[in-house]
Amino acid sequence: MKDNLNKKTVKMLVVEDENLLLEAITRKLQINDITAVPCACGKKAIKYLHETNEIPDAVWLDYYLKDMDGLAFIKILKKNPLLADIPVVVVSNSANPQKVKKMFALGIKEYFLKAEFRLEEIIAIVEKIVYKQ
Amino acid sequence: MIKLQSIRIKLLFIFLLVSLLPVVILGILSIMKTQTSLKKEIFNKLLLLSEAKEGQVFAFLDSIKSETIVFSSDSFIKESLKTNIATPSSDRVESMNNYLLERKKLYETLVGIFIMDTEGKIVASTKREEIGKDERDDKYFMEGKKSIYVGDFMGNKHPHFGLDNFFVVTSPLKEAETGKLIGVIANIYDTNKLHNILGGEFQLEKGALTAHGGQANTLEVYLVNKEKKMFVHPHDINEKNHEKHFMGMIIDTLPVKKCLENQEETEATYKNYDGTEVTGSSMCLTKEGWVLITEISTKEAFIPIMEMKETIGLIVIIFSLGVILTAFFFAQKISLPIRKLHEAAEIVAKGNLDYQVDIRTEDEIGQLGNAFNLMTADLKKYLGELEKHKTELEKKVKERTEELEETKNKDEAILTSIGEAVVACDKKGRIMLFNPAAEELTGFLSSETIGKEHQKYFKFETEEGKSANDVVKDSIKGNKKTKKENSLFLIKKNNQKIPVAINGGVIKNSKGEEIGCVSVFRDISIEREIDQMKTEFVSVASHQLRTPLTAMKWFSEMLLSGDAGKLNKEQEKFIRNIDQSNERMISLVNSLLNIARIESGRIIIDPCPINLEKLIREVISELKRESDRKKQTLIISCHPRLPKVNIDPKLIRHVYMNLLSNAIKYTQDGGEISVFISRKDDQIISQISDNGLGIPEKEHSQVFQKFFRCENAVRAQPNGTGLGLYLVKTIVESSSGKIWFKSVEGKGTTFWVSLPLSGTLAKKGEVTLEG
Repeated sequence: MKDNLNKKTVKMLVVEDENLLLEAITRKLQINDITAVPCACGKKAIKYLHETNEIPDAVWLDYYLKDMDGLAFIKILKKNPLLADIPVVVVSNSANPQKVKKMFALGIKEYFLKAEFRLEEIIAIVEKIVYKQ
Repeated sequence: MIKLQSIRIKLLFIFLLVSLLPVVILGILSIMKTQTSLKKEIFNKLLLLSEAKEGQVFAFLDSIKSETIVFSSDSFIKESLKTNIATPSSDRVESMNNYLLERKKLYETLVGIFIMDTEGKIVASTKREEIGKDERDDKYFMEGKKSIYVGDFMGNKHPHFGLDNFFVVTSPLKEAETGKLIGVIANIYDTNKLHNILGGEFQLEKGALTAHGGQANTLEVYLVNKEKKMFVHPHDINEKNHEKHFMGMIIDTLPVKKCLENQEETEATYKNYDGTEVTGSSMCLTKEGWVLITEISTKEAFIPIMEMKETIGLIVIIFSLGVILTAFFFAQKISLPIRKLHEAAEIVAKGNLDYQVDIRTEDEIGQLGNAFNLMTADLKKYLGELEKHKTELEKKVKERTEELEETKNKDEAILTSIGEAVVACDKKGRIMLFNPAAEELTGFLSSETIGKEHQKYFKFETEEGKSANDVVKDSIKGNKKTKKENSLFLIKKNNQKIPVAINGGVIKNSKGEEIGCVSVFRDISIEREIDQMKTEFVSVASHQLRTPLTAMKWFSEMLLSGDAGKLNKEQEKFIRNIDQSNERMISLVNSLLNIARIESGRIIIDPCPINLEKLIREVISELKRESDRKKQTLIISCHPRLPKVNIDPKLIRHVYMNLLSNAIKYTQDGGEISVFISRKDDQIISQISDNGLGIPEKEHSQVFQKFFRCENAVRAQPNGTGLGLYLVKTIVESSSGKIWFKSVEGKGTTFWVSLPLSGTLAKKGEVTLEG
């Protein structure tokens, strides 16, 4: 689904510890002309963010990561002034509403339940967010 | 002062008063009357006597006067005198004297005679000594010259014939032919005859039987002359020597005064010459200037009255005694039964109920006595019955007490054996009951805790560590039974914390008054563990199940989008099947997880004011695509002024989403679905109707069961979990609402959901529904 908008290539950091899902997401993003940077764990993602020159346009974050939980990751991000402005989208299997509230309080842009949404839908919304920036 | 307390004395007094008083009054009156009439009589008698005596005196005077007249008309005397005056001769005188003497003998009372010449000189007399006395100054001479004259001679300076107490009657001696006065003859009489007349002896001598005026001893009849000298006093015959004493006494008493000064005859009571009180009557002999007095001593006169007084007095006394005795007798008659009654009352009061009082009179007192006896008999009977009752009651009480003891023991045994901690407090929060399980739970002994303030031994903490000590108080204050969430920790004696569940209630007595509260505590550590395991499972499940499901979903999506190349028809079809099954699985997993969450009670209920109509419209718009595809009509009609309700939007949205999607799903193409929202009293009623498949009658009761799908629904829509309505019902009921339906197979179904205007109570939880 190529859209007609004039855009530069969007870069998105995808943090997901399930390989299968990571593969699906990354592939879909590619098809939609979005550069995906896959990270299978939180630490790796953090390392990348600190080391890269190209700050991604958005972060696709899975909440339940093996090595840290989503909140901690977001907090780290927001602490760093360079990274604080990156729009973060949390995609998860489930999370209790209090945690969701906290995440929004910290500044995430959107929260999705994986099983409810088709990839297309998620990507469309993310694009909207990115273009808003 | 006589104390008028006893009936006897009262009766006595009244009796005496009533009977004696008139008698005494009568007596006094009659005495007075008698006194008066007696007085009158005495006066009468005296008067009669006086008058009689007066008559006698007059008669006497008349007789002596006539005697003297006889003498004065004696021719011999006259001749002799005449001759003598012419030629006095002693022989003639002698013969005159003798003649006089001879004549004198004829008359008893005549003491002596003398003749006086016109000068007053006594020329002849029966006693020679008299001759020659000069009487010219004497009244009797002077009066005698004129006519016959009677006079008394009281203590005269000239005694005659040896007497100084005599009567003299003088008469003039006149010449027969010429009437010339030649001399005066004087007859001297002694007072003896008059004495006897006045004294009564005269009559007796003459032959009368009585002459003393009755038995009067003090009766005195006497004469007093104008010089107030007594000159005739006939005292008692035996006391003749008193005569001399009386004679010549000056009697200056009332009658004398009255007679001589006023010429009034008296009848009165006065003091006589003796000073004695006398009753007397006087006769005034005015011609002679004498006063005839008849006196009797008042004392003697009034003896009858004295006697009468005595008699009457005696009668009164005897009468009084009689009255007293009678009164006594009657008083006794009355007061005796009363006393008997009084005694009887005392005896019965002391407890002797067999005693019967013995009063045999037929009057009111007798009736009283009878009534008393009857009463006593009744009392005895009733007391007997009471005793019997008492014994029975006692027996019953004993039985009941034993029963109660047994029950109590049973209850105690039960309480003791209850495996859960039971604690009861009174209204003030003091511990009344602390069973062994409570001892085990808290670590405190009942002996330590009974009677003490419960908060000392029951300290609670919430999960977060905040103290929650008003837990028990809250359950006392609340009027309903309260349930507390399982997030309370009890702090044991050794400061160990254990999770407990409390179930408390208010204790009310039979009148409905609160008298305390009872709480049951349960160590829920195991339950909490289980719960935690469940939670873990749910989160694990949601994660572990969902990940592969999501992978399948997305890869199917990509395949169907052609991201891995174009698919042929068959490939597309197969993948679509996979996708559909996948969606089913996702849906099932969602529902199962929701159910697990709801059943764990950890669902958050977060109500806020929601415009129900708006919410439903949003749901409808989400489903519009599908209903449009099936060419169905979707109508919504809402009460114009529906207020906002406090409900959890997520939960309630789920409800309407399910009901409406069911309606769309199970209604044929072109069908009609309508939604009505109305308000009834304090409820908002939502009505969702369709004219679709309907629910078979025999399956109506199972509709809300977990995993249940009607036969016709399964045929129409093979992909269904059967969990939708179960979840909906649970949500509605947790929101304090109600859900019910009506349905006819083949015609359609209508569901109603009612939610209270007051809204849903908030509930703390951990999770929400998903999907």
